Order: sequence, then structure tokens, then C-alpha cells
Amino acid sequence: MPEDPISDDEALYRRIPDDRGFVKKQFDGTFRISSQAFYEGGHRISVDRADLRENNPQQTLVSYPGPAGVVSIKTGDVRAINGLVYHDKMQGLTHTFSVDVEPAPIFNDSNEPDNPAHAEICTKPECPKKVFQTLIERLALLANGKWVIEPPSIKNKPLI
Amino acid sequence: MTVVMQPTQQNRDALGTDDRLVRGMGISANEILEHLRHLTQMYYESSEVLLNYPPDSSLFVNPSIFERFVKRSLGDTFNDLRRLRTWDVGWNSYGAPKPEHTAIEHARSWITSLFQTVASLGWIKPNVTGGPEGGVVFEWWYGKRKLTVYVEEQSIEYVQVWGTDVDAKITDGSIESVSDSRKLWMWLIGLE
Repeated sequence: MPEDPISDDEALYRRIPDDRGFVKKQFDGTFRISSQAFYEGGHRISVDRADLRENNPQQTLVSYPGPAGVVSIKTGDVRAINGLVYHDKMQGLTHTFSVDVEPAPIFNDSNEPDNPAHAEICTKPECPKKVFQTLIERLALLANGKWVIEPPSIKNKPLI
Repeated sequence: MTVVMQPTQQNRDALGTDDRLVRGMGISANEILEHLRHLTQMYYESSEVLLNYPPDSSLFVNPSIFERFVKRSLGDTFNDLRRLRTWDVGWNSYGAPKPEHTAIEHARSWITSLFQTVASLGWIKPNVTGGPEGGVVFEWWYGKRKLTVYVEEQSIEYVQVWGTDVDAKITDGSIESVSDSRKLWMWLIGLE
């Protein structure tokens, strides 16, 4: 059991790069977030705990170079994601997965800057690729419009 | 908002045989045409716009005409695919692998085949990005529906999102044939 558990009302920041096809303009002028903005190879999705970033999304934004924005989603909404089911046709079994957010502070990592606010969205138990693809679609739906820092493509959009 | 566009006759000509329109025009006419083209391009670059092309069988019988038609219609998408080649390891800032050449070629081949199959039903320019395991991901939004297609070197998989709510129905599967692609497209644009 991880220390310092994350409460349902904690906000989570996710940095969304703006130059990788993750932010798509729609015909009505709104923008949608690509599910791929949440894909991570290890099926654990990095986020920052807003409270531990002084509720300042700028701190999440500046941790990596390049144009980007930051979305804020509630831990409770992430944990409430359901419908994650895998049908194992070989064994004739159906597996159901829940979603959690766990603290994963980073210290003394050769590849990453120290980040005590770091946490990870994960499934219980660990899910196969198909289920993860569903999870990231749901996260994209959840995050749509929840910008706390708009990426340049939205901020600089033409008025007409 | 969902919009179905019916190009004017002039637009239809422009899609297939654009250079003939320009021939013989004065500079000012060219400038006006260029301005209109620019505005049209800006409009078409937004997603959710369904472009209906004429079901002109001559396009598909004559390879050279069809090739020009494809290049013109998929030009932006091909550029997006070329752009993926320049992305390196960690391109998403979360450790993603570099998009693989073979997956990009597979994606180019598949999107061309899809276009050939469904252009007469209407075409929507896809969002293009890298995949999680060195592949390519195409995404389309249309109305409340969203289609995600994962193209890897050896496989093509899809995810269908049936609504915009976080609890929306989501289904998935593999694309094994042109028929599978066409069915997915018909679902996306609400014809199924």
C-alpha cells in the first residue's frame, strides 16, 4: 500500500504536448484531445498531484521542453471510470479492471527530474493492451475542455 | 456540430483536374482563385467535415487520374506521415519509441486503400499521430462518434467510441479486410 494516498477530490495535472497531433481542432471551433495523449508503454500514466505542485500547473508545464498545455482532472472521476472489461476467448473468462491513482514520487532518477508530485494512473489488476486502449479513450473524454493551461494551438487560434 | 458538405461543381472539377481551371486565367483571377483555395483549405483542415466526392468511376479506372486524385485528397495526411519519420525516441515526452518506417509505410498503404474504398461515401481528413509501440494512429471524430485506428507493421486494430460522455460505449477489434474498413467507415459517418 503506497504512503500518502491520494484522495478523490485531489486534482491531477497532465501535460499535453501540442506539436504531436494530440490536440485536434473541430469544425465548431472546439478542440478535442487525442486518446494518444495518455498512452504510455508501461500502461501507467504519469500525472502530477496539483496540491504538491502548489496548484500551479505552470510547474507541470515547464518540466519538459516544447509547446504544450495542461489539463486538470479529478482523482475521483478517474477512479470512477468503469467498463474496462477483457474477454479471454481462449479460457472463456471475462476479466474486469478498476482504475486507481497511486503516488509515484521521483527522486534521484537519471532520466527524470525530481518530482515529489508525480503519481500514476493505473488499472487493478494490470491490464492488457486492448483494455488500456479503452482506458485512454475514456481519459480523453474526461479531459476534453479541462485545460488549466491552454496549448498554443488553442490560445493562438484565429478569431474567424 | 456535424456538417456534410456537398462541393460545388467548380470544387469537384478542382479536386480532379485543377490545373485546367487555371490555364488561360489572368493574374487577378489566379489571385482570387488562390484566396478561395486558401479559405477552403482552412475550412477543410478542421475535422468532422465530411467531403462528398462524386462517385466517378473514371477516377478508379484510370490509374494516373486516380493517383492524382489521391495525392490531392490525401496530401496533408501523407505529409503528416512523413513528419512522423522525423520524430525520435520519447517524441511524446513520455518515453514513446520512434515511429517505425515499416509501420508508416503500412499506414500509408492502408489509408490509401481506405480512401479508395470510401471516397464516394465522403471523406474526413484523419488526425495522425504516433502509436505506442512504434506504430501510427489515425483518429476521426464525426458527430458524437470517434474512430481510432492503430496501424503496426503486421496488424491494424480499431477502437470505436460511440458517444462523447466518459461512460460512452466503446468497442474494439481488428481490421482484416477492405470490407472491415468500409464497415467501420459507414459506422463512423452514421450509415450503419
